[in-house]
Formats: sequence, structure tokens, C-alpha cells
Amino acid sequence: MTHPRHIAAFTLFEVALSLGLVAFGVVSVLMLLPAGLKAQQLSRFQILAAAKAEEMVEAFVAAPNGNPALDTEGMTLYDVALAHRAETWDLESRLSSHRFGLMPLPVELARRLDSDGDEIKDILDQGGYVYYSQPLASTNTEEQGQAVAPPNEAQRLIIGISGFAQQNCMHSLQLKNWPYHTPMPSPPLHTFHMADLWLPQRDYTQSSYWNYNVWPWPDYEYQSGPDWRNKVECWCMPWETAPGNGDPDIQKVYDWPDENNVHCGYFPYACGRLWDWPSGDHVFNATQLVPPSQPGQPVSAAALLGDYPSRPGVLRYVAATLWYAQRKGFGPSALATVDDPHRPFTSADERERWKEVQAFRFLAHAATCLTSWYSFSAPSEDDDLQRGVRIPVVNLAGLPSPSDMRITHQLITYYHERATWLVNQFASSYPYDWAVPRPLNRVTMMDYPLLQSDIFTPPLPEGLPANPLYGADWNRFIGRPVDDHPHNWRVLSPEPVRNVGVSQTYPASPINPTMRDNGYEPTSQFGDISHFNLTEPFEAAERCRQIVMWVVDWQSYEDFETLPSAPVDASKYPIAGPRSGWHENNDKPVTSIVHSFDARMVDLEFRDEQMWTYRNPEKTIMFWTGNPSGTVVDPRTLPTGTDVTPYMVLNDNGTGDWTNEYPDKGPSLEARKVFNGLYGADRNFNRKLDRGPVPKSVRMRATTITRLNFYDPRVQAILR
Amino acid sequence: MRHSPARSAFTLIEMMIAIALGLVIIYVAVAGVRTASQTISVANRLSLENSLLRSGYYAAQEQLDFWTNLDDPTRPDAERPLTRITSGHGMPFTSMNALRDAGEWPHQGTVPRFPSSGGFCQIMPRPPETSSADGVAEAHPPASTTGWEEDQGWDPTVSWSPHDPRTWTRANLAEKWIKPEDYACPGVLPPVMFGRYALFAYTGTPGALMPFTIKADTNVAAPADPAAAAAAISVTYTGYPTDTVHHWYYRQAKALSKAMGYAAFCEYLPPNAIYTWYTDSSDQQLTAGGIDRLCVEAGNDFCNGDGGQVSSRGIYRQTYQTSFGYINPLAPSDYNGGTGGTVADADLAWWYYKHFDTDYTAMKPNTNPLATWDGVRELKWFLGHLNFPQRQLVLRPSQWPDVQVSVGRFIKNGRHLAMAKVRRVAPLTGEVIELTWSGLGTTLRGARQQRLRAGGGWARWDNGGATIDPNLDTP
Repeated sequence: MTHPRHIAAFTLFEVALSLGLVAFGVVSVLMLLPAGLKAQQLSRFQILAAAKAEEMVEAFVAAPNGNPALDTEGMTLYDVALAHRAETWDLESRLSSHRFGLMPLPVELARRLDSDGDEIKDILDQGGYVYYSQPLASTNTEEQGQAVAPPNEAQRLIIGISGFAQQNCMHSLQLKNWPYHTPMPSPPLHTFHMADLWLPQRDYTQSSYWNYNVWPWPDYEYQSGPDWRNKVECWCMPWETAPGNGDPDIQKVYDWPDENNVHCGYFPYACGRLWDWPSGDHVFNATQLVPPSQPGQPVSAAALLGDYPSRPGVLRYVAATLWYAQRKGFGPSALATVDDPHRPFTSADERERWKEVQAFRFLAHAATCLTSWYSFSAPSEDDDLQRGVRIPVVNLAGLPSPSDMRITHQLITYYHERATWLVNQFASSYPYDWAVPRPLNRVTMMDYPLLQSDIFTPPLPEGLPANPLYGADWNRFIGRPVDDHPHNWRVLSPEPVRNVGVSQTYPASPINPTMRDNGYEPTSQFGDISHFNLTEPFEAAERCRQIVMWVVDWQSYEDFETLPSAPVDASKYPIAGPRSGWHENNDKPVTSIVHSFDARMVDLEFRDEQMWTYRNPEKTIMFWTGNPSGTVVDPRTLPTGTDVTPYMVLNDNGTGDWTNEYPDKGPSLEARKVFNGLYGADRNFNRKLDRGPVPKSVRMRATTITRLNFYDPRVQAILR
Repeated sequence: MRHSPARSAFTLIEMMIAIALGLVIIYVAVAGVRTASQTISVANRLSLENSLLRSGYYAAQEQLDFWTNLDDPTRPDAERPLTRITSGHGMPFTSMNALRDAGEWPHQGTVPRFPSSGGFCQIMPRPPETSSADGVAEAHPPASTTGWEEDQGWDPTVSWSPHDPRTWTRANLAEKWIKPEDYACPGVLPPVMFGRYALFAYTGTPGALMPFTIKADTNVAAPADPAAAAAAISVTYTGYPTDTVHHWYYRQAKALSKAMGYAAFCEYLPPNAIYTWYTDSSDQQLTAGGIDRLCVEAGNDFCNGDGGQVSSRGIYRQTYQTSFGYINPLAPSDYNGGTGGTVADADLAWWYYKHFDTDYTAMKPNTNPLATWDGVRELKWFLGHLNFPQRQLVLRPSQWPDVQVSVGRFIKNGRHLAMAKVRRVAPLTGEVIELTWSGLGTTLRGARQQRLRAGGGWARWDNGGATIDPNLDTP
């Protein structure tokens, strides 16, 4: 008899279970491996993120934001690009430029990226951007001259700003880019001015004399031809004497004809009257001189007095400043003897102190000019500065200047010290009294008023008829349709601006600084002073924002370099001020040109080093269709790996004329395509057209690397 | 007798299945092990790279904080070229004391220095406000500037407060450098027609200001003024009282211009400084009014000539077209076709007293084959010699990546930049990746205060001031 053999083996179930357990264990171990890999990758990008965050902070707090080619003043609050979002003092606006390290990711590409909580999608849905790291060092240096850098892994980081920008200080008052700085002591501030219509009318009558002149270009700046700069900035406009600045006496210091029609003051001394523009041809020619008040008359000897720096000219300049000082309450008794230059202001009334500042400022400047014409000690001559130079009396507007004044060396040094002290004291003490320009010799933060927008008062409707000087024709100059009345927030300062005056650029446009408490003046560009809160403390939760960094291999997409740029914020259009369009009329002043948006887009020189905040943030690396050989090619159609250097905008178009020939400049459709980056960009800056392996239909997931809290500063400041 | 039909062997099918399963298991196991091995290798490589990059990042941060890539105070003097004085010009780590001893920036020993508290404090008081609200008259500088203006040498306790009248630039900012032969050309204004501002502030004790000749305008045929009709009016200015002439700012500025190089010059002067001074210096030509041409003329290495401007400027304009930088002394001496090799002190000093094109003049290569200057080449040379890379590990296993670190410092548009770079070179492929960022770190002034004045080493510092060692800024 046989018995079934008992087999002491595992059952199939047991084996299966064992295998299952082994498989689970093996798979678990295998799953740990990519987790470790991922941890290392995450670690790598955390290093990169830390460096990028440090750079963002450094660029934000240490890089100046000067865009000196941009117009800084407009006739209305709306009309100057400086007041637009591109200049707001928040992280994105500051850094989203090709010189500061952040460039907006093409929106079409960004929309293919998934992220935790759909954060990227939310930012895009709200009209924001996510950014990638600029492919080359953000050092403000000339990108075009830099060597091609090795691949930068930090480009795989994409950066978003979570949380909304808060209201911070305004960059400047759009109507008047205060502070105006000038060397101190100095004559009345006079500036170059475009040959346009925004100057007040010339007036040659003695009671309200006001004039501007063709600037006498010295030889050094005449180097590019006699008309080179005259075409752009041809007139010398005495801003500080302009009607509307509140002190008609200043004109006497600058230029005023006495009862014999001999001109006194600074301008006749320094520049003479030879540079008046009687014939309109800009040409320096003494034979064409015609005293403005006697058109058509021949040159007279009297008119020539003061036609060039001379002793009589400087004496009349000093006399005019003495006349002015007397008008401000500082007659011979206050000026003929040396006193403590550091004594307090003479007037107890703070509202009157500007008068003493101006009196000593002008007098100190004029009196110092005497040292060019009189020796300290010259016994053989009638006058020297040891004994004192006698200043003749001049009659200006029917009033004589002080008599029996002798200016000595000691008085000159006293005037200088007193003027320097007064103006520094005034600038430090009265940031909202704009009667006196600020000293260029010593610029400080106290020169800059604190300004913010009043977002709780109805905005100012800037209707075209608001300026009586130009009436219904206003729209021709500012490039807007007649029925287009943009609204703009009114402005706030912590206290009302005293002696607001007029602007240098548009001295005919009035500024109304009236601020009411718990209300507003309808015609004022300023709002309700009770709303000023720029200096109030705030809770962290009110203003905290976050920098969020993700990592994603977005440069693997097939179209990462051929996609158009993210839409360019309209505030980045570098439009010129609403001037009258000298360029459209053969470089002559015009009276009937419609100054369109297109024209305003070509008024400015698109010089990269002077205008980097404006234009497309990808400007340096983006493509255009032309190249120096003249071949027009859509760079998006080029084979992968093609050298795209000839198709990059960089900082010129290769023609050599880097001042005026940028391919993104001008009103043409093609220029606007380039301006908006429609042809894509060399986003890794390797000078080759790249296409990644990943089709655009594929979505990628962006992994969060880090989140960093930050605050936008309320007030602009550069850290040193 | 019946025998069980059961057999102890597997069937062929079973065997095949078993073998197939076995093969699958072996394959999966091998593949798994291979994958695991590769993954571990990659993870190890990444880990190693990350460690090296992290150490490079920290090394760069340390350089940002301590400037050790330019000057290691623990090294012997022979290896610290930036502490020397060459041809009367100091370098970024030359001590103020050494400058004084060399006679480059003498300390005015007869004038008491300002104490840190009491008397003249760090922030100079304003003149007395006898009518101030509190009715308390404040201390103020005397009307005569003799004494407190005479202080010379570097005083680290003085803050250059804008309230201090000594810090105000007293210059004719409209004064230009115009060639003397052009004075009488039509259309050219006399260069000192606005007066002699050297009367108000001067580097030395003013003596005889140079005679100034005003010529009549040849364009005006019949000037009514008889004096102007003369061929020339010579105006001398001698023998005038000098007790009200300011000196302090101009002396400080002039001395700083030769103390540590132009980049340091821009760091040490306040951001609102105007770079100008009236002087009787014999080593620079002057404008007609007496401004040192170093400040206003494009022909020297401090002024860049941007815009054709030949008058006094501030830091933004001086560093807008061009930059000043801290060239790494370890970088090769190969400027403009040089032969390379160790840089001589004279060359190093020249690079520290020279501007380099970094903006629009570095846009295009110079196509003239005879040209010795090329802005693009200069920009590349400049950036490459600022960020001269140093190996993180000099000795390393051959399979390890090479990590190089550099921090380059320069000034552009008034911005004091420190550009950090960490570069990784793959050991097998030579592939290069680079991490670049502009970093925050110590200023030169801070770095100088970290270093002992003499003998090398690090200075001790505490905020209480109890254990502050003499450092490079200590007079």
C-alpha cells in the first residue's frame, strides 16, 4: 500500500504572498531612489533660488533707476510716462527690465505650467506675469559686449510675486519734477528748452518784460555742426523768471532793460544779446542784432553794451542783484557790512524766508563775478576789491538800485558764505516750499517731497479745455482724441506746497496745489490732505508679499524661443511729452502739427543706457527681422541652431547709427511688432535659435522651491 | 498493486513557465539593481555637485563679506599687493597710516581731531539757533574757519554729515576745461567769467591765484566800453585775506583720489559728492579757475568724457559710460595684448586708477585693424579680470567636478556692484554651468576695518568699542 506522499512545500498562495511582499519591498526601495534624486535636485535649486533672491534684493535696493532720456513732466497728470506703472516702487516694476534680472515668461508658455494650488494660473488670470531669470548677469553693463556665458541653471527657476502691490510714494509730481537743482549761489535758473509752444508768450514791454533766447553754444558743443543741437534744444528759457512763478522781481536779475534800453542782469553779462533770434536762422551774427523792443532798427551802441562779458556788464549784473535784494527787504544797511554768515534767518515768518535766500543767492553769484574783472589790489586803478568796487545805480522798472554800494573782497566771501548757509538751511527745513531751487552742491533726501496718490478722492478728469492757453486745440498736442478724457488720481503731500510755481517744460500750464481737509478743490490737481498716510505705521499683514520660486524645465518646449514676449505693459511705452513736434516740421517750431501718439513714440532717442525701464523687458535678447546684410527673415522660421546674432535687437540694428535706428522704435507696424517681441527672443542668450524636444501640447508641472516674504518700501531709497 | 501515477518531476510546461518566471525575476532584479545603481550614482553625483556648489556659494558669500579674494590678511606682505603704495598712489588695502607715513596724506598734527562725543561731535552741529523754539543756543563752528577746517588725514569718526558746512562743495559748477588757445575764439565764453571760486575753498593755503586775462570779443567791432576795447584786461588776485577759506572737503577729496584707487574714491566720498576741487597742485594741470583737471577733463582716467561734458560731475555721470573696478591681482597681466604672467605693481596701480568702458562705447568691436582701443574687448577684459575664478578645491579626485568661485566688484551708474560667480566644470565632458548673482556684502570701508593696520591678520571689533584694534582706516 502506498500513501500519498506529503509534500512539505509552500502553497501557491504562500509563494504568491511572499513574492508580493518581496515585490512591495523592492518597489518601495526603488521608489526611494527617485525620491532621493528629487531631493538632490531640489537641493540644487534651493541653492540657485537663494542666490537669485539675494540678487533681487540687491538690485531692488542698490540699483538706481535713472532713465534720463525720458520726459519727466507733462501738462496733465496723465501725460508723462514717469507717472505710470513702470516707475512704481514695487519689486516687479523695478526689476522687470533687461538690466535688473527678471524677464516675463511668455504667457502662452506660462499657461502650460501647473503648480500647487494653481498659483501660476491665478497670477496669470489676474493679469500678472511669472518671470524667468535673465540669462546674463544683471550688472547694468553693455550686454552686447559681454562674452557668451555658460548655461545658467537658474534659468529653470520661474518666479512669481504673490500678493498685490500696495500704494507707495510717487516718483515725482507729474506736472513738475521737483526738486529742481542748481548750483548755489547761482543766477536765476535757466534751461535748454525745445522749440515748442509751451513757453509763455514773449513780452517786450518794460512793465512785463519776458524773453527767451537762442542758446549760445560754445565751441565744444558746436562740434557736430552748427545746427546739430539747435534742432533739438535750441532755446534758453529762463524758467525761474517765467510768468506764473510768483516773483516778477527775478526777471530784473536775469535780464531787464533800463530806461535807456541797456539790458542789465545775468544774461546780458554772461551771454549778451547777440544770441537773440531775430532772423530765425539760429546763426550767431552780430550784424543781425536787433534789440527785441525795436524790431527792424539797426544795431545801436547802447544795445551793444553788455553784448559780451565785460566790466560794465558785470557791474550792471551786480546792480540788478542789489536792486532785487532791496526789493526783498535787504537794502544797503543789510548788505554793506560783514555780519555773521551763520546767523538765523532774518524773518521770523517762515513764509518770507525764501526772499532772503534768493537775495543772497543772486547777489553772491553776481558779486563773485567781479573777481574776474577786478584785482584784489590795484592801486593804479580806480577800483579794486580791497577798497571796494563801486556799483553804479541802475533804474529798473522805475526803481533805482541802492546807491553808494562798494563791493569788497570781504563782502564777496561773506555773501557767499551767507548764501550757501541760507540755501542749505532752507532746503533742509522747508521741503514743501518750492520758492527756491535746491542746491546741486549738496543733494539730500530733504530735497525730495513725499507724494502719494489720493485714491479715496474722485480722480481728476483731465478734460481738454482745462488749459485756457490752448483751448480746444489742446488735443492736437497731447495726442488724444477730443472726447478722450483720461482720469488720474489726484496727488497728496503731507502739507500744502507753498510757492508751487510752474514747470520748466510747460511753464504755461498752471498748477493748482490747493488741498482741502476732508474734501477737495475740483480744479486742483491735489486731493484731500486728510488722506495722506504715507508715513503712518502699518501691520505686517497689510503689506507683506511673497516671492515664489518654482522650477520647471520650460526651455524644453519646442517653441520656447519662438513664442512672443509676454504682453508689454502699456506703461513701458517710452512716449515723449506732449510737445509740438519739432521733428515733424523740418526741425522748425510749428503751430499746427497734430502731435499724435505715433509722433510721441519717435521723439525720444531709444538709447538703451538711458531708458532701460521702458520698452520690452526682453528687449536686449528679442528678435527682429532685419540684419546688416539687408536680408529680411522671420527668425522664427530659421533652422534650429542658427546663429541669431544678426536678428537680435540687442542695442542697435547693426547699421552703426545707435542713436536713432532701433528696430523697435517708431510708429510703423513692423516696429510695433518688434517692440512687442512678436518674433520671439534668444531666451538663453546663447546666440542660437533653440527648440526643445517637448511639444507645446504637453503640460509641465512646476515644483515649488521656496517662498520668501518681503515688503515693498514705502519711500524710494537706494541703499549704500 | 497499483502505483500512484503521480510523478515527482515537473512537466515541460511547468519547467518552461518556471524558467520564464525565473528569467523575468532575474531580469527585473538586474534591471532594478542597474537602475538603482544608476540612480544612486546620479544622486551621488548630484549630491557631490550640490555639496561643492554649496561650498562655492558659501565661499562666494565669504568673499562678499571679507574680500579675501582680493586681499587675504593672513598672508605674508609679499602676497598682498593691494596694500602697497606705487608712485604715490595707494591701493584699496593701503592703510591710512601708511599713506601718512609716505607723506601722501599728512595728518595735520597741530589740529585736534574731533572726539567721538562731546565738543565737536560726529555730526557737526548747525549754527546757533538763538531764536529756536527751545531757546537754547547750540554750539556752532566759529565764523573763522581757521582750525576746524585744517584737520587733515582720514578720520573714521567723522560722518561727513550734510549739516557740516565743511562738506559743501563750493565750486563754480559751470566752470569748464577749455583750452587756453580757445579763450578768445568767437562764441567761446571766458572760462572764469563767473569769478574765482578758489577764494572760497581750496586744497591748500591760497596764495597768488593765477592771473587771468580777459580778451575783448573780436566779433564786436566797436565796443562802447573803452576798457573792453583794450587788447586784454589782466586781473591778478594776490594778497587777499585767507582766514575764511575752506579747505577740509577739497583736501579730503584730493587725498582720497590718490589713496585707494578710483573705485574706492567713489566708495569713500558721500553719494551726493561733487567730484571737484580747486588746487594749486603741480601734478595736474588746472582749469583757468584752478579746478584740478582730473575732475573735469576727459583726457585722464577719472573723467570719461561722456556727452562731451568738461565740467564737474557726481558719481552717476562718472560711472555711467565707464566703470571703476577692483581688478583681481591674481589675474594675468594681459591688458591690451600684454604678455600675461604676474601683474607688476605699476600695471596693477594703473588698472585701479583707470576707467573701463562698460556701456554704449562697449557696444561694437572696433573694426579698425590699427586701433589699439576696442570697447568690447575692454569690457570683456574688465569683467574677466574682476571675476577672476579661483578653484574651490585645488587638489581633488579626478572624477570630481571642478568648482571655481569669483566675486567681481565694480561701480556702474553709481551702483556698487559685487558680482558673484560659481562655475562648475564636469570632469569628463568639460561641460560648464555657471551660477551668477549680484550679491550683498561688506563695503570696502567695512573690509578695511576688518583688517589690522600693521602686521597682517584680522582686527577685533565690537560695537562697544572696547576692543577695536587699529585697522586700515585708523589714522
